[in-house]
Amino acid sequence: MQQAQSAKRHRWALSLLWAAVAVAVATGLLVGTGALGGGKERSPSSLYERTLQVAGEYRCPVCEGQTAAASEAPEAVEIRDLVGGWLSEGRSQAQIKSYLVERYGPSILERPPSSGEGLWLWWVPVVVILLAAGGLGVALHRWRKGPASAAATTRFGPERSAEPATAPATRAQSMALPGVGARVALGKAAVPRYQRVAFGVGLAFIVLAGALWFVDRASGGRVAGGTVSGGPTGIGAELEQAASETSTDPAAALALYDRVLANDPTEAVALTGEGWIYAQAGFAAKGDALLAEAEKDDPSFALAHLYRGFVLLGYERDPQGAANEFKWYLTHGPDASLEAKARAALAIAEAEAGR
Amino acid sequence: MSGGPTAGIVAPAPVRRRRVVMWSAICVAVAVAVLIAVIASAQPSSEVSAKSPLLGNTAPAISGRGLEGGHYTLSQFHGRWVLVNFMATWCTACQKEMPQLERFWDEHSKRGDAVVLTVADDPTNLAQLRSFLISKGAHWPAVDDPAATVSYGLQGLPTSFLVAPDGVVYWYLLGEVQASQLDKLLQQGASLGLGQA
Repeated sequence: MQQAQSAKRHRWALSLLWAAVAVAVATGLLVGTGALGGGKERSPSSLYERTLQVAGEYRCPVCEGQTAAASEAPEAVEIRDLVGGWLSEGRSQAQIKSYLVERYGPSILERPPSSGEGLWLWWVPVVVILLAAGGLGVALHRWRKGPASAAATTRFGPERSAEPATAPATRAQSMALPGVGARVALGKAAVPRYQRVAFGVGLAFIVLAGALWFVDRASGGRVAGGTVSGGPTGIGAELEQAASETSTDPAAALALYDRVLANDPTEAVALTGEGWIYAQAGFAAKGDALLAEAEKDDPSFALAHLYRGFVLLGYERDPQGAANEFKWYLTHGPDASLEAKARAALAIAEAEAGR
Repeated sequence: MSGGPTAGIVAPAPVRRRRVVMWSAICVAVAVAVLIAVIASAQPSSEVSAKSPLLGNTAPAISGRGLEGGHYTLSQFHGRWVLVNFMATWCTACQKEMPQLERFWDEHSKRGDAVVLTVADDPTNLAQLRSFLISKGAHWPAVDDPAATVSYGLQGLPTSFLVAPDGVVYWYLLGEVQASQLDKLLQQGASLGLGQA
């Protein structure tokens, strides 16, 4: 009687577990595809945001893993300029896409096309996951079906079993944990170890594939500073906008940085941006002070070191200090698109320091 | 009795299942090994003479101020082969290919059948590029046209497009050019009735 209750409890627990997994997967899929609203990108309000959104649909042609919206490589900047110019002229996104694919080929697309040659890229993962899920379903069915005869003997208790249990089953039964039904213990022992391992690996694969797909759906095409499921918002958006306006409209960029610093005076990105603008405007000492402040507030923010190096080399006539900054930058995971510039600047700084 | 000693013997179910799992594992392992081999044997992008969608099409316009002053357009070289070469000074491969460009220029500028047109890849790099070209004795035109990086679908440096005398993109290379290779291409083009080599 106690065993029957225990088995019942276990079945309930298993059912609950499967239900929880199903709910988690369904929620993930719904959120990931934006069906619940959380994944929907808010419609961009300005040309700048629309440009970033559209540019986010294209790869940076000279970078690894970055979109044309997120990269500062000259080629990506040019694509952004082209996208922004064409959008302001009222040209459609289809025209932009057609032009870029004509020039770069389909590889410029951040997401492979869902037709033609790109079709298989979309469907192969789905087919693989369905096949894997089907295989696991069959395995699970056999697993449950396999030990049924042994389980049947235990429903009436081991003492009423008509046939002696096999040796592995007896061992498993004796090893069964309190509260776990004998049926499960017998079933577990009746399934060969390699099958259990294969089942576990298959399940892990499906969960992993689902998780990766979800992450990709949730984060795909986002721009630097943007939220996971929406367009750029809050401080991230202001910093992004300020960075893009630094060369075209430094006054506007400065105002944006000021706004960020009013909320958080230790925001290293804003301090770095302001420092660079001041230095370029001829206020090298103030620029250097702001960059030094950025380094102090966030020592791990590499760009502060890089820009301070440029300021020390170009404006402050301190090649040794500049060399130290460039060395720091180059030894702390430099951005691929800036590494060559940093190395060239380091060579100049070291040459000047040696004179 | 026909057949061998095992004829008619059917393996028990667990053994069959074990075989299925084993063969499945082998198939997956082979597939993964093939995938790894394909990825590992792929040429790095910097050395790929990839296909450009522009091949066989009219070369996109290039127009901009020359680094040494003046104004250059691609169309002003119509009737000659033009090696459109994208470069930046921070690109070490671009620096390495300079002697090859010089060789090509020296030989063909005398003949008047081909020119080199350098296009600056990085607008923030113009002063350095100008100094670099001067220091290397490069006397061919160099132009600043940022839009060309997109219209030519630039995917890395150095990149060269050989534009035929009729203005059509004849050849493309993402990587370092060789003067001898360019000579052969010009001869090949001449045999096809394109320009004179």
